[in-house]
Amino acid sequence: MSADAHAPSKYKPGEIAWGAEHHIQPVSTYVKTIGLLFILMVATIGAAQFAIPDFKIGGLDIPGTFFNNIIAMTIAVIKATLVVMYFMHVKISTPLTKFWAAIGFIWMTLIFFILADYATRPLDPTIARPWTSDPGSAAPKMRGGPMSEDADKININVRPRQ
Amino acid sequence: MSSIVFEEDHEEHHEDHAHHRVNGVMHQYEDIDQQNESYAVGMWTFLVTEVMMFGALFMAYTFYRWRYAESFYSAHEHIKTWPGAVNTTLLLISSFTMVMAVHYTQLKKTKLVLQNLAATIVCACAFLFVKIVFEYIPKFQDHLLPGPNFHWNTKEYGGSENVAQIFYSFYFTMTGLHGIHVLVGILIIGFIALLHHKKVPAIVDDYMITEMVALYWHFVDLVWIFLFPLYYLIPK
Repeated sequence: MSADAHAPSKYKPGEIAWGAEHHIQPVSTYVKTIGLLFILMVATIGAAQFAIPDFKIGGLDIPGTFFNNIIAMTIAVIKATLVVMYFMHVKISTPLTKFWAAIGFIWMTLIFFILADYATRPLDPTIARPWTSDPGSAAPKMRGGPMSEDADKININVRPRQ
Repeated sequence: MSSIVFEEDHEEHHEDHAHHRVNGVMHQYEDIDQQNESYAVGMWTFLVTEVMMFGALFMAYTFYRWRYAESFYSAHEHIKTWPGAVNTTLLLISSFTMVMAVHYTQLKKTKLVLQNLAATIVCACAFLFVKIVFEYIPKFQDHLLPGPNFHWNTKEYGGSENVAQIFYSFYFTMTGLHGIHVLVGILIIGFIALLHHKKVPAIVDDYMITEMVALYWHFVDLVWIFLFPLYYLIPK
C-alpha cells in the first residue's frame, strides 16, 4: 500500500471516487466471471437430468443419487466462490476482510457437525423409538379442507383436486 | 507546533466543509484505505449474521432430506426446473449489472451507473414475478401451502403426506425468506439509484456505499446458488 500510495496516479484528481485507485478491476474480469457462472449453471442443470444408478462396491450398496448431490453441491460451491472472490471483491481485499468473509462460511460447516449426533443415534444402547417413514403432523385438518366432506365450500380452496 | 497542526486541520476542514471530511477521509480514520476496509468489514459482519440465519435453515433441510430421503424425492414432484433456471439466470445477470454499477461508480460515470442499477432492478422484479406467478400461485392452487388445507396425493405421487408438508414448509420458508431479501434489495438499490440520480456528493465520491449494497445483492445471489440445486434439481 505504501509503495502504491506514492506512485503517480493514472487518473486526474477528482476523476475517480475516493480510494478507488487500486480497486478498479478491468471489465473483462467481470465478463469472464459471469461467463463461467453461466457455463456452471448449464452444467449443474445438465448433471441433474439423469440419476446416477445405484451400484455396489464390495457388498456395500451405494445410492447413485448420492453422487448427483455431490456433483450439484460441488458446482454450487465453485459458483459461490467465483461470486465471493470476483463480484464481492474479496480476492483483492485486505487480509482482515478476507478473514471476516471466511468466518461465516467456516461457521456454516461447523453447524453441520450437528448431523453427527443424529447419525450416531442408532448406536445409542438405550431403547429408542425407531425412525419411521412418517413423522406425523401437528397441522390440524380444517373444516372445508380438501379431504373433508365440505371441501371447496369456502374460498380457500381455489381448484378442486382430482 | 500544535498550533500549526491546528491551523492546517482548520484550513482543510474548511475546504471540505460540506462532508466534514479531508479528501474523503472521515476524521476517525488514518487514510482512505483504512476507512474503506472498515466499511467492508462492517458489511461482512452483517453478512455473517445472514449466513448464520440461512445456514440453520440449510442444516435443517439437510437433516430432513437425509432422514426422509424417499419422500423428499417424491415431494419435489411439483417443483419444475425451468422457473428455477430462469430465476438463476436473472439473478446472475443482476449480479453482473450490480458489479458493473460499482465499477462505473468508481469511475464516476453516473449515467452508466444508473443504467446498470436499473437493469439490476428489472432483473430482480422479473425474478419475483416468475417466482410468484409460475411457482407460488400454482402451488397454492394445488394445495401445497403447508397448513390445514395442505393435500398431497400419496397414491399418485408416492411418499408420505406429512413429509411432503415438511418439504413444502422448507420450500416456502427458504425461498420466501430469500424472496424477502430480493424485495429489500430492490428497495435499497432503488434508493441508491435515486441518490446517484440526484448526484448526492456522498454517494458519487464514495463508491463504497454502492459497493456495500452490491455486497448485499451478491449475497442474495449466493443464497440462490445453493437453493437452486437443492429445490429444483433433485434427480428423479
